[in-house]
Amino acid sequence: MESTQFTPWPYLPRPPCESQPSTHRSRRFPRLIQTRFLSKPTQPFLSTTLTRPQSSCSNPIGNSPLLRESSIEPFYVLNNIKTNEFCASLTSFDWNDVEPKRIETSSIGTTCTIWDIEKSIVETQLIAHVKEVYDIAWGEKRVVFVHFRRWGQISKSRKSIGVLNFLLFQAFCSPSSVASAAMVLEATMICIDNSEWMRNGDYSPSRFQAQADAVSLICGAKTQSNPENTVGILTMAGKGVRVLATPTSDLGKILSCMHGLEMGGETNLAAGILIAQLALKHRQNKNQQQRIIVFAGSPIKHERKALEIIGKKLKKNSVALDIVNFGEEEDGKPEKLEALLGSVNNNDTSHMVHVPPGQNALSDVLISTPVFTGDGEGGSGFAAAAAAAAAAGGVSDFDFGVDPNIDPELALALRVSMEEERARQEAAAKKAAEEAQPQSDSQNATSTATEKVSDQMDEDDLLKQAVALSMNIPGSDSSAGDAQMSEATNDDQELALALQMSMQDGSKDSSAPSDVSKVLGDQSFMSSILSSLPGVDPNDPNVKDLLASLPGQSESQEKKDEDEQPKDDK
Amino acid sequence: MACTHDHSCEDHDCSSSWSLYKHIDLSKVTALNEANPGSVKSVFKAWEERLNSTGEHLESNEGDPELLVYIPFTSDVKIKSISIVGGADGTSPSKLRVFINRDGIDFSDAQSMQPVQEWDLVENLHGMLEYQTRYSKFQSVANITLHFPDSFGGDTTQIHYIGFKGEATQLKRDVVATIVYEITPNPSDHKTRAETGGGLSHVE
Repeated sequence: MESTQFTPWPYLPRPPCESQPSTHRSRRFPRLIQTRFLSKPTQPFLSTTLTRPQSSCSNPIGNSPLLRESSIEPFYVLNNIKTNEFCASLTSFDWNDVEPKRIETSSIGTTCTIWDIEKSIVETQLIAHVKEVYDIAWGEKRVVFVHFRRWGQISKSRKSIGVLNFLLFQAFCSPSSVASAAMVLEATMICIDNSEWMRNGDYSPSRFQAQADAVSLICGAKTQSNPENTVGILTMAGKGVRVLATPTSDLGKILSCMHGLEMGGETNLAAGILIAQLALKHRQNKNQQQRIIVFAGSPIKHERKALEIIGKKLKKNSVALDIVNFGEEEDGKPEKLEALLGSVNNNDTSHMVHVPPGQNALSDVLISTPVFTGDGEGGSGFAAAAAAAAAAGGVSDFDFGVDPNIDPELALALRVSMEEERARQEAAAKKAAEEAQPQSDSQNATSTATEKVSDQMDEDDLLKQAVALSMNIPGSDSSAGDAQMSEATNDDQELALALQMSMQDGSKDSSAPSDVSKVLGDQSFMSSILSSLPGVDPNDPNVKDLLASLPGQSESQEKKDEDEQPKDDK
Repeated sequence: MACTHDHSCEDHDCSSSWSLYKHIDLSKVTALNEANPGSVKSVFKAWEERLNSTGEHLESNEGDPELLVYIPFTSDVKIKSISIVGGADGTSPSKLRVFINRDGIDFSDAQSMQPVQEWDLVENLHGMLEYQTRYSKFQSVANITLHFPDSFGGDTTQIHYIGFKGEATQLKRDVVATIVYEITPNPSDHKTRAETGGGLSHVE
């Protein structure tokens, strides 16, 4: 029988960020330090706790205490066993270097578990061993890990490990997860078009802004796919070609130099590409592959021949070229760019992307292209995740730009506002047909507004807006009101029933006005409504108070109600 | 300076002296202006196989006979002579310029820089010719860059074999690349077991 004396293992694997600052920087968990990890011999181990110093507790489950002296607070408590707070002793633990959110633990309960600590869930469990598992580690390529167990005890006194039973588990990533990174070491120069042609607004918000967004995304993707990648920026128009940043892996510097860029002048594509090549030639790490990304948004004044010569020169020096063709569409521009691409392309390392103007943002279209995903081997995790999110969104163009798994509340809010917008458009169409909405309905609606209790605030507002719209009162408001009104009309049967029932109650609740005063909007609108109500006397002091307290609240209330509306509708 | 073998090669074992190819770091060999990426690695083989061109050979892009080959070695070598086997029909290189211990040379650098040594080559289809080096300059070569600016009139330049004769030292000229620095050292990360009270920490 295994003695209960545990020797502490000599090796606590470090989180990826700390020990190798030069090669691997985990941006999301900069200061994670693992704390308690040993097992008590006689007692099942308390749940593993990973802590993060200097950050607030975002997800504390359980009663782990704070250690004040070192200001460490429990960040996660990961517990797999639902019936018990305690679990079997854990023997080892390892961070996944490539995906810092994944850790794996091995326990004497013969199982190993892989956790996703961002979501605080168990990704999977491995139950292939029959005895205690003593160690577990991620392998180089992150798809393989090894764990071994003690085969037998040669003698009680020696406690030596006789045979190591290694099990390798392959391909642990599920298909929907991030594809394995190609990790091409690359130095990239991005050539930005900041000519006058970029003032055009056919890409939202303007061509230049769309381009700037795309540039930031590219920089992020490149540096994330390999931490030693470098990116530099130059502008092609303005007073002349100007290098804003030489290839660097410092994302902040790149983004900051994008600030305050001015548009003007004409693009000099040839000079831009040649200077980009020069900048790449003087990169610090000669092992990096060279790549130029050109945003060709304005008409090209160079001849095709000249571009081909440039392309050949790039090819000769093994520089890859990615062209983003957007913006101005003139005759001959696609052909010139095709010629350029053809002369540069060496084994499909160079690409061209056409982005026509339209709904989709430039960056959204680019995310799924080889500009982001690299040369076909799977590309960066960033790009793959974003592309997966797009696919998971269900629509080919980014429906909300938000992955419902990552941010459900935001996705929900976006979806609701999308529905409201759609409903508003329907309402606008219906409006013409709604001229002759009967007065009684509107009165019922309003009386409900005055008589219902405050926790029905949203419905009140909605009804009030409905009334305002149907009565064509100019004081009532905007699209928000329209949306809510149309929601009211859509809510139909039960609401109508409720209206009639509350009409029959008929009493004028004097406490209601103070609540309702928060809800109701415009003063003139209110007075006109009230005057049309069957039981309300405009000269009533309550009503006058109500009217007096109205102005100045409408604006803030609108927003608040709109926020509450999605929550309410859930 | 070219010299031919004055003996029959079957008797004297020439191939052992052309064994520097074993010290080439093949994974890091690169060439600029090659038509098929990666084909440069096929030109480094044993001396007996220098004429065996059934495999790939190094060819430059169409219409441009210039070639640049960068060859790093796994340890410092001394190079006595170089042998090049080119292609037929004027696709052999006509000149050779070499640079020692510089990486990241591209065409504009190569054309403007003064080479360590340069040779006018002849069409050497059987690989019998070797080009001697100024040995004193080739004493500790960690990497060598061969620049072939032109061919004998052909559209492209083909190279079937590059051989080096010399000896390898065991020394390595290496950049110190594997140091781990801590940006801000944190003493609490370096506690010894004695300081923490010996091994078992208390879960509280």
